[in-house]
Amino acid sequence: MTPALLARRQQAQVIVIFPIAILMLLGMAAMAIDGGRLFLGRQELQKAAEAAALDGALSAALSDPQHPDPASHSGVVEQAVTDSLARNLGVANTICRSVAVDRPIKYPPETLDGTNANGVYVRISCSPQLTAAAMIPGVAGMTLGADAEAVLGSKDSAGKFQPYQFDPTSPYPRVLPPPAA
Amino acid sequence: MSFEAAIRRQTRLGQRSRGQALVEFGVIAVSLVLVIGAGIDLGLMVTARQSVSAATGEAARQAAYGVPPARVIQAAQKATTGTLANPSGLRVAVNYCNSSGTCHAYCDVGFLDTDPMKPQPSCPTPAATQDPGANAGDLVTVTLLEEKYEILTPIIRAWAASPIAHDDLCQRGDQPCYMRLTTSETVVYPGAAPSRP
Repeated sequence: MTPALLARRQQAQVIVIFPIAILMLLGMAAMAIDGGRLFLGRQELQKAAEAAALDGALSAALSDPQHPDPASHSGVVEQAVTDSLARNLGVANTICRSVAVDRPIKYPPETLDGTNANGVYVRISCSPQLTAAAMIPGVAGMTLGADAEAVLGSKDSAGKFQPYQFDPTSPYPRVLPPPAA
Repeated sequence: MSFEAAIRRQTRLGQRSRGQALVEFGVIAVSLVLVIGAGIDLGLMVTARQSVSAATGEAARQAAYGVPPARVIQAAQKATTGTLANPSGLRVAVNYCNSSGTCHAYCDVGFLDTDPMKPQPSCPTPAATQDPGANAGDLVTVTLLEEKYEILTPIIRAWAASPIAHDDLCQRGDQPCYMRLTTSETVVYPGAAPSRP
C-alpha cells in the first residue's frame, strides 16, 4: 500500500474520534455536576433534619411544659417536624424529586450521666434527580438520607450533660440553671 | 506518480504540517486551562457555600437553645472562622417573628442598608445580653450573607457578570468580582434561656 493511499484512508478518522471524545467529555462533565448536586443535597438534607429534630423536641416541651416528653406528644412532634422540613429544605427541594420522612418518628430514651432523657430522632430521605450518573448501575435508584436526634438537654458550665429542667412556675419551657455543685 | 515521487510529496507535506501541532496544542491548552480553572473555582465556591451553610446551622442551633441574639451572631461568626468564607464580607441577621407576622430583627454591624438580605425596616445591632423581645413558640430565622467571596477565573467571572447569574457585585469594573452566598435556617424559639452562673 502506498503512503498516499494510507493518508487518504486516515482522512475520515477524525469523524469517528470527535463524536466519541465529545460524548465522553460531556458524560464526565454531567457526572461531575451530578456528584456536586448529590453532595450539596446531602448537606442540605442533614441541616434540615437537624432543625426538624430540634423543632420536634421543642414542640413537645412547648405544648406541655410540665411534661416535656416527646413520646407522649407524637402528633405535635410529627406536625412540628413536617413544618420545619417545609421551611428548611432549601436547595434540596430542587435536587430531590420527593422528600420522605421515616414514620413513626422515634423517641429513643437516652441515659446520659445517669439521668433519663427523652429525645426525637428524625430520618429523612430523598430521590435525587440525576442526569448522566443515572446510567451507572446502582446509582439510578439511589436515595440520599440524613438523620438527626435532638435530646432535651444541654451541657452545663463544666461541659457535663444536663437534661433540660423545666421551670414549673414558668408558662414557657425555660431551662433552669444547673444545680450548684 | 512513481513510488519515489509519492514519498517525496509526503515528506514535503510532513514538513509543512510540523507547526500544526504547535498551533493546535496552543489553542487546546489555553481552553483546557480555562476549563480546569473554572472547575476549581466552582469547587471552591461550593466549599465556601457549605461553610456558610454549616455556620447558619450552628447559629440556628444556638437560637433554638434560646440564647440572646448577640450570641447567635457570634456563633455564626465563630463557625466561619478558618473557612473559605471571607470574614470581612460576612453579614448575619437574626429575625424573630410571631404567628401574627410581627418581627424583631437583629443584625451584626457589617450590614449595609443596601444589602439585599437586610431585614427591613430596622435591624439594630443587639447588646451582649439583650433579650430578643420574642415569645416561646415564635420562629427565629438566621440568615448569613457572604458578599465577598471572590471569583478568580475568567469563565466563572463571565458567568457571574452575565444576565443569567445577575450578580451585581461582579459588574463593577474597578473592583474584584464578588459573588453573594446566602443561606438561612428557621427554627422554633424556646424562650430565653436563663443565664448560667
